[in-house]
Amino acid sequence: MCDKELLVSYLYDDLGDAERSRFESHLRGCAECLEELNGLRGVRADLITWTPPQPDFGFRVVREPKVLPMAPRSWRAWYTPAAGLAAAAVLVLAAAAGIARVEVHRGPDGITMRTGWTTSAPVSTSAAREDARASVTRPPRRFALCR
Amino acid sequence: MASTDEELVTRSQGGDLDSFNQLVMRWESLASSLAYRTIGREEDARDVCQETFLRAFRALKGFKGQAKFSSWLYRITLNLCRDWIRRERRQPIAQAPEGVDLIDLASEQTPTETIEDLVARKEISQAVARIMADLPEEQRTAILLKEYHGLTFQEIADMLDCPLSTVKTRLYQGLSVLRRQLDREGVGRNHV
Repeated sequence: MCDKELLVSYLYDDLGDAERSRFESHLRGCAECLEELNGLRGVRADLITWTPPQPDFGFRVVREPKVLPMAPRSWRAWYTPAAGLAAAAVLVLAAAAGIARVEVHRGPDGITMRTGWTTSAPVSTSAAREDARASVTRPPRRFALCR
Repeated sequence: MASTDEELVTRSQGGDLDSFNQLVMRWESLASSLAYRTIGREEDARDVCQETFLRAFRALKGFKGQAKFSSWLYRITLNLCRDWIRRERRQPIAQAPEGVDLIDLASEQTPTETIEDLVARKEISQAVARIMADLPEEQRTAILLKEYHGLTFQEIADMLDCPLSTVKTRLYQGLSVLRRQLDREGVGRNHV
């Protein structure tokens, strides 16, 4: 039984001078090893043909922007003329909704909104929900954030 | 003059993100090739490649330079590929198409290559991918690291935590299977 480790080392030109000469003299007298060596050289040439696709690279590591903690604000800080106007607008809308008798119903077809004036078609939320999930589970592939 | 990997690693460890991204640019193609040839799916190989660099970035502080940066990166890639195979509970696949489309091939033709040569090359490539996917993982890995990444036997042994002689045996066994299968399918050079 010939030494296959030696054959592999010779195949990859990984022998010292003395070992190489010894193996070459072995090859001259061993047709089996010579035939095997030539066969494996052929396999190595075939392996070269297997080239992987070269994807469009561009992956980079970027630093995630730091979110600065906000200082606590007292209620006085929130009380601005704009905030007062917004609160008034919410009250007006709520009153209008009450007059119009808005009903919200959640059924198997999604959410149905109905008012005293008109009847609306069901608003299907399943598609929107699907979009939201896709955006969560498919983060941008080209960049990665790190802290 | 371009910086060496060792210089870029040292600067990255000091917090220089640009240096790390230079390492990414330098090695992403080879890491991606290794992942692709290991698991056989282009899209998943790209994900593995991306995860490889993220893990490398997070673990960079602990990299003491005992091995080459590339060997360290390949080890991460192979571990992630192993996780992928375990998670998907399946063998790596050969993604090569069944047929050979001559129009697609035309763009790949080299100036000295006839169309017959090109078709033969494609057939060999597909057969190699298929046979490699069926090899035991340790034989496939030894062939990939030696043939396509040019690692020394010692580097492979260190990376796979096995004796040098085991690496050579795995390589011999894997190449012998390839030889027999290619002969059986009648593709490739005459291996007899």
